[in-house]
Amino acid sequence: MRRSALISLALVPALLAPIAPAAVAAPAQVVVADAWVKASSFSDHTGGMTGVFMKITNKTKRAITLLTGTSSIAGMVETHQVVDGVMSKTARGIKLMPGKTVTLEPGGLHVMLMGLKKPILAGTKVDLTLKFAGANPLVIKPMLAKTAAAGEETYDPGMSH
Amino acid sequence: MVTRRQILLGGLATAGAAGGVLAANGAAAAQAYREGFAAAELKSQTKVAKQKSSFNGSHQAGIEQRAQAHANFIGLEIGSKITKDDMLRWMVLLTDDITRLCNGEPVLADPEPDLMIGAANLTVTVGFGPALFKKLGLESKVPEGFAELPGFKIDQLRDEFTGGDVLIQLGADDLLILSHATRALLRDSEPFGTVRWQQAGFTNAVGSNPEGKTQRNLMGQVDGTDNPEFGSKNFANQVWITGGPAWAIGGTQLALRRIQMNLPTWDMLGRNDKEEVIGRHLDTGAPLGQKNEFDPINFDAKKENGLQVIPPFAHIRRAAAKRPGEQFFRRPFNYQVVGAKPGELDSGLLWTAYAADLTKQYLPVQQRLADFDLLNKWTTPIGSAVFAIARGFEPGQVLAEELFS
Repeated sequence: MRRSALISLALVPALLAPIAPAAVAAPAQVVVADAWVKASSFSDHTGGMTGVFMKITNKTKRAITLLTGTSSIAGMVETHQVVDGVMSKTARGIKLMPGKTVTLEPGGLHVMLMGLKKPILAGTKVDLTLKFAGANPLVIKPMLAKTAAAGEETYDPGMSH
Repeated sequence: MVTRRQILLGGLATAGAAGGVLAANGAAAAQAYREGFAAAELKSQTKVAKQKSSFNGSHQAGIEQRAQAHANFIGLEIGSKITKDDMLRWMVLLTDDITRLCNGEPVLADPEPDLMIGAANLTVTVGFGPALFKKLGLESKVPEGFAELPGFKIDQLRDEFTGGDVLIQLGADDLLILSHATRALLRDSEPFGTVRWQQAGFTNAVGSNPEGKTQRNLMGQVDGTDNPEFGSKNFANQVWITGGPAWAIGGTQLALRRIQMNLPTWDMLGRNDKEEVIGRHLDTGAPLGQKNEFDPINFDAKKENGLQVIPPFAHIRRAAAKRPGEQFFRRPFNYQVVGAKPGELDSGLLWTAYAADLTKQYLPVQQRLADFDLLNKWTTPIGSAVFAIARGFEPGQVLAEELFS
């Protein structure tokens, strides 16, 4: 259902273009699916942090880099990686190759919400706008926070909790 | 012998081949034929998994529809610190999960998404027990006629099958899909409550019993003959709540009773005795003295010796409505597990009554059966729970939102 909605959204500009060019939005440059936020003991308090996971697709013919983002619930949004079970900030964002989908998942690449202004608990809805180099900012649908056991990682000792 | 399925598959394959013949030569046609046949075969082999039940609308799914091959009834108890706000977050999670699962898709953050190969008619139904309303101070939102059942003298209830704050009822035509969906929902329920009991039930597999045919229970009896017809006014009148708190309008009330059957002693009865106990012929399900399952019951008919055709103790006589409105919808599943004693099977029924008002529609019937029903000799209620089932939800709505906001 979600996929067909995405597809039909993508088709709309093409269908309407010859008739009403003024009303046409730019075609989606980046598409996000199945986004969710992890609810855990790291996120259940003010000042806490947590990861955001999703499938993110570059719909353009050029490379795009996911750099950062903004969320009303977080003081800071970063892109992170997990290497050998240890999480750290990525040096240069997350690269999205033309036409490819990157899966942000526990134990791998993800977006980090830090300096939480409110607790994120299971079932909390979280807003997020992604910011890129090479594409317009993308407001994604409010994401659901879920507890998940997968990809438990240790945190880089240099990182403040 | 050519089966109907082979004919269907052959037809589809030929249709595929026809395109090929127009397009190219004989080899291409043969290739197209093979591909068409393989595609049709694959479709046929996965057709149970691909079935979806509608789950949006004014009523929750899993009630006004054929009992699936498998069911799990799960009773949960909420944590001591859980608030209405927490309940609402739980419902948000369940709503998202139900939407994805009933579409045959894995839930968000599914650790084993490859298991979700389809919906197999999965339905999820959520309800709330009387204790929940007390714990959260929601007494003003209890639907009319919804309350704990009184104890009946036939009851030998066990804690591990009784009570519960929240019900999650799942049904599906594939046990692996059902198991995966059950885990997903319980994983997301963990922050809010603990499982008090889980009761698994089954009916015939899809393809074993004609659609619409009344199921049999493990005593061999047809079970559910008097049910109102799906989609009928009668069904709506018996089942769906039409007034009171908004969250329950379009919902219903469920009495779930775990009825243990003493099959070893039941098996000892002769066929005639079994038919007199229930008041129906075993083969056709017809009321005694009649030919067909749905023939009207003649409670006054007498035999030549003056005895009633349907004995005074017969189950259908005791269960029949004595006053208008003493009717409800049953959607039972069988159960069979290892018994308490070595070498013993524990068999029975996850018996369900769905009614707009349990007190008015179900309680008088249950009281009559508890007082006097020969069937009680072979059946024992060992679990009991009641739940008020929330109304259905439309896309974008949250299940039971009006109850917890």
